[in-house]
Amino acid sequence: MDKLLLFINAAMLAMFVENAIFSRALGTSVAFYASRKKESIFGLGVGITYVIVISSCITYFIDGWLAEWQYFYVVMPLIYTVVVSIVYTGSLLIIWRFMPKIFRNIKKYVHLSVFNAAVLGALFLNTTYHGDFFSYMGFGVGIAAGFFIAVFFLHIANDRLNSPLIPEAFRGMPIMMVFIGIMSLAFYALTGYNTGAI
Amino acid sequence: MAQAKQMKPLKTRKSNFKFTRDLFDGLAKQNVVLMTGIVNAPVIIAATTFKKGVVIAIAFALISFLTIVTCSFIPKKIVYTLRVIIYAVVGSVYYIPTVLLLEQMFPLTVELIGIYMPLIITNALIFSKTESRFYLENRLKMIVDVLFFIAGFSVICVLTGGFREVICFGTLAGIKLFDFSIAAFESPFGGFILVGIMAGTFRALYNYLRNRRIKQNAAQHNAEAVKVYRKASSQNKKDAGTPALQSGNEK
Repeated sequence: MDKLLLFINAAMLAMFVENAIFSRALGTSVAFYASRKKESIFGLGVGITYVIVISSCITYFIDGWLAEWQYFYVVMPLIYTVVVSIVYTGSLLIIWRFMPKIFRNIKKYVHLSVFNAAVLGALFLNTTYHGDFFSYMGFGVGIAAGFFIAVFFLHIANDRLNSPLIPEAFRGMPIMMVFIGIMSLAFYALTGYNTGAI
Repeated sequence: MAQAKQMKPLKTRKSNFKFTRDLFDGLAKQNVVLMTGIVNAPVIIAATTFKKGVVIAIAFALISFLTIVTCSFIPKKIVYTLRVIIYAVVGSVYYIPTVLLLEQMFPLTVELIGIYMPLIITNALIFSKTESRFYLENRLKMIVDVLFFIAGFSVICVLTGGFREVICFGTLAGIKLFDFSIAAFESPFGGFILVGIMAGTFRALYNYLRNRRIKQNAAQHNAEAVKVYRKASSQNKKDAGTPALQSGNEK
């Protein structure tokens, strides 16, 4: 029961307090790309969730091993990149071998769901919090779910934000940024915002 | 045979990059922060002071330039799905000397930037722009083009950092300017709103200048066309007069 609570706690923290897009701006360009089509939201959401959760489980053991090493923070990106690459290659091989149709459909954008700031950022944040195994998993699930929620919000707002009512120069990315800023402000209400010290 | 025919366009695929026309794309037309928005997390979250902006710009320049140039030697025969792994690993390798160097120069600032420093290795300039633009050009053009793209990011990053420092703390590069401050611009939501407004303003200015240039070119073109027309019509008049004289002489 305690483990489940730890998992849920970490997931909620990652989803609302450390939201990948609204609080950390991780993978914003991928979110813009994914928010254009419903199919992309689902595809990228599943891809990112899978890679983050599996990689988080692996990095938990690596962190336990190397956390004391003085130069761990310097080689950490290289180690995490190798971990993510192994997960990516292994998964691609399995999909290519057993589900060739799906492989053909996803191969165009599969790298987007793996090599982006949201995946590596989630792993770095996990290391920063340094919880136990279930916290790592929960945090990974939470970051991915938070990313999914954010992309869904962007998708809903997409049509309105590209309407002729918006000045031409602001249509698209600039107004999307302002929209994310306002959503981010709303998410800050969950944790409370102190103008004195952030 | 059919496969070979299908492969041919891929092998001969070239960029339509023109040196004089597209050289400044990375600075304005395709600025990665304000125009395309493909690299914005470090600017929005981490570039809250001038010094942080400078450190991020240096790290971005070193990691992106070295990674892109090194990875340009990777054979295109390897499929992109796998080549992208090599890009990520090369980027992470270059991150090590970069961060060690920057730590010597700005120890506290590197620590304050936190996870946004290593996240530079996953920037879209390395993963997307290489395939859609840089690796379609020859190496010299590619290097110049990459430098301009990096300069476009660096200028905006440093300017945003400086501007946020002025309005958040009333200082610039640590020098006190005034007591007035709006602390909200240091937060992520402040960063998003600020970059959004900057992007919109930049686009409006760019469109205005482009339209003005188009109008000027059109006016110049029209003036030249009028000159040519007048010259041609006066020539026609002369030509029309000459046969009459000739015909008179003949009489």
